Amino acid sequence: MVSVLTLPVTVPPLLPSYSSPSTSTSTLSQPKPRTLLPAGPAHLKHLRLLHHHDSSFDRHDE
Amino acid sequence: MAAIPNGSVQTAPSTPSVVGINFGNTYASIAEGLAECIANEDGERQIACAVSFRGEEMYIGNQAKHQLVKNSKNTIIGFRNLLGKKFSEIPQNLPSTSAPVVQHPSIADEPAYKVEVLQASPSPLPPSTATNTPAASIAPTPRSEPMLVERILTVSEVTTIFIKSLVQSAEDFLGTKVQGAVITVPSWFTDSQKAALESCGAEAGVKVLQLLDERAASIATTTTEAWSSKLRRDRTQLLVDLGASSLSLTLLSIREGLGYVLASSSSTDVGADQLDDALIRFFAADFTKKTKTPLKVAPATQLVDQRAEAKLRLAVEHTKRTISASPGAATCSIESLKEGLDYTGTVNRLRFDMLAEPVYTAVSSAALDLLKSAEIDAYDVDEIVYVGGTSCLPGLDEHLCVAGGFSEDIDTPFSLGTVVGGGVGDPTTILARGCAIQAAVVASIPEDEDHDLLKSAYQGNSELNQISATSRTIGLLFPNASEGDADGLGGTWIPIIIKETPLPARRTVQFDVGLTTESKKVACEVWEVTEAIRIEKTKPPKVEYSDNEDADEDEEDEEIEVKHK
Ligand SMILES: Nc1ncnc2c1ncn2[C@@H]1O[C@H](COP(=O)(O)OP(=O)(O)OP(=O)(O)O)[C@@H](O)[C@H]1O
Ligand SMILES: [Mg+2]
Repeated sequence: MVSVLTLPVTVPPLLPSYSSPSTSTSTLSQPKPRTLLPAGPAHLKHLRLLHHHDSSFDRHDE
Repeated sequence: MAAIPNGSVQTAPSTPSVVGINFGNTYASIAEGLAECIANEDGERQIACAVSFRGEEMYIGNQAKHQLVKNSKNTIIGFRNLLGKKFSEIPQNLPSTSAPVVQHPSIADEPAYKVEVLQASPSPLPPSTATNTPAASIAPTPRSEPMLVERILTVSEVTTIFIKSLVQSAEDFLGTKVQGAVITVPSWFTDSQKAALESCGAEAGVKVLQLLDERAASIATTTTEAWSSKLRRDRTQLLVDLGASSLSLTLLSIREGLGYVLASSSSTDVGADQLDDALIRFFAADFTKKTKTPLKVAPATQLVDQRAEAKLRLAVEHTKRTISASPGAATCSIESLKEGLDYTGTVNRLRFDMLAEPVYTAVSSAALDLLKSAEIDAYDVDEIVYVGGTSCLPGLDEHLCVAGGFSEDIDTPFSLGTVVGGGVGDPTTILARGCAIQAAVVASIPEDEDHDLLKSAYQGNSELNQISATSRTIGLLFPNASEGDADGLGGTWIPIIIKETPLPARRTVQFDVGLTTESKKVACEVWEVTEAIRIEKTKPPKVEYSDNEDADEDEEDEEIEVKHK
């Protein structure tokens, strides 16, 4: 089950003057190592996602 | 599996009953899925960690605590913190108001308690049938009086007795056998302390499914649907645990039910013990004023005053709980406090909070220190959660919210109105409930090929819990340059995966798109940003931007998200 966050936001339309930025060359920042607290149903679900479903949400959702 | 709302963990009739136990140094509590917090046979939900011997009787829980007045040397408290320690590791010669810790007479470097108990005298020997012994009287030897004997109990033995009684209370309440339990441990428990607790559980006849860090127990409760529907599922939480003799503070990243520690601190110099000292001095002075009888407590030097102090200590438990439960004044009544004189006094909220001020201030300055060392702005904390009995005091929340410099609309169980009347935010039940939720999770893992792997995550320091998390916020920018700043970066910014989110992560966000007749197109750019807080000072009427962005940043980073709460 995916939870949906509904935001009270209305995004503006694209202005005709918009030109797309030159293709980005930068990459995402390095993730940091962290230690999960081993509790709750979401934790077990995350373990299954990582170790049983190869980190694929699609496989996990099946 | 969806988050299980607290109180609705279903255990099928065939599955064994599993419970959660919050095992504090001062109080313990038990919970089971539907039965959120279980009362023992004396109707107590906070069960004092005390075991007392008087005559042939053994008392456990609050009844045992009452033995501290007249039978202190046979009353054992504070054993949880000594579990798994060597005798030589325990500070000696501390003033003691309970059974002293001694070196075990036969086990090397083993701490133990020495108590006096009455032991039923041994039954007389059966008449001898041997032929060559002189015939004794055929009449049995009269049963003699029970004898006063010394009994030595190790810390583990006391813990086992105590856990057994908790489990017994749960079984009486639930009407089923308890097969397994998740039990809390403080974050500072060493491996040998954990091992000692685990074997006490086994000795007590209960399978320890997991020893759960108190902070993990807390997130199991505070990430349920029942906790609050108002809170964002991705948030930064400050967990305040204020007990009798300890304070621990933890900043937690909470992301879609997952949680980890960002920073933490703890102290054994801050707790209710100091507050109790101030309160009993206040009541003792009031007693002296009313009765003209001198009474000096905390510290008391004479035996009569020591007894009076012990009575006051027990009585202020009730006073504090009354202050927490209602805004009015609270009483403290004691029969025969000293020299046969009864005492009844009152303390109002204002006066109480003045007495508690040093404790409140110690908590807020520890919180400020923690935020500073973690380089986290108080405005970035979305929620404060309280666990531990002393954090039931509303004055603490009032003080901390202001003195900690948090946003005015920070969510706390007090602002959410969930503390009173044993609501979901009640600080005294959160840990046991979290353990009960976790016990149901562990028990739900089917015995398939994954079983052992998944379960290993619940053993201490498992590699499985080592994950990667995002270090910067990733979101969408819907450009609209004409509205924007000179640098052309105007538009609507929607953070999607905020920093400190465990990977892999998935978020689904819904919002409206405002198409016009001129433009039926919408586009977005994916950005990774460094957030900052804009501090707007109204006097002088100049706008200042204070940013904590590091100077040499990646080209694509910018300060868009304005946390302007
Ligand atoms: N409703 C309440 N209002 C105020 N104080 C309370 C309330 N309930 C319990 N307390 C106090 O909280 C303290 C016990 O807190 P808690 O059960 O969290 O301690 P613990 O974790 O077992 O012990 P420690 O902090 O010593 O390790 C006691 O001083 C008790 O009087
Ligand atoms: Mg505690």
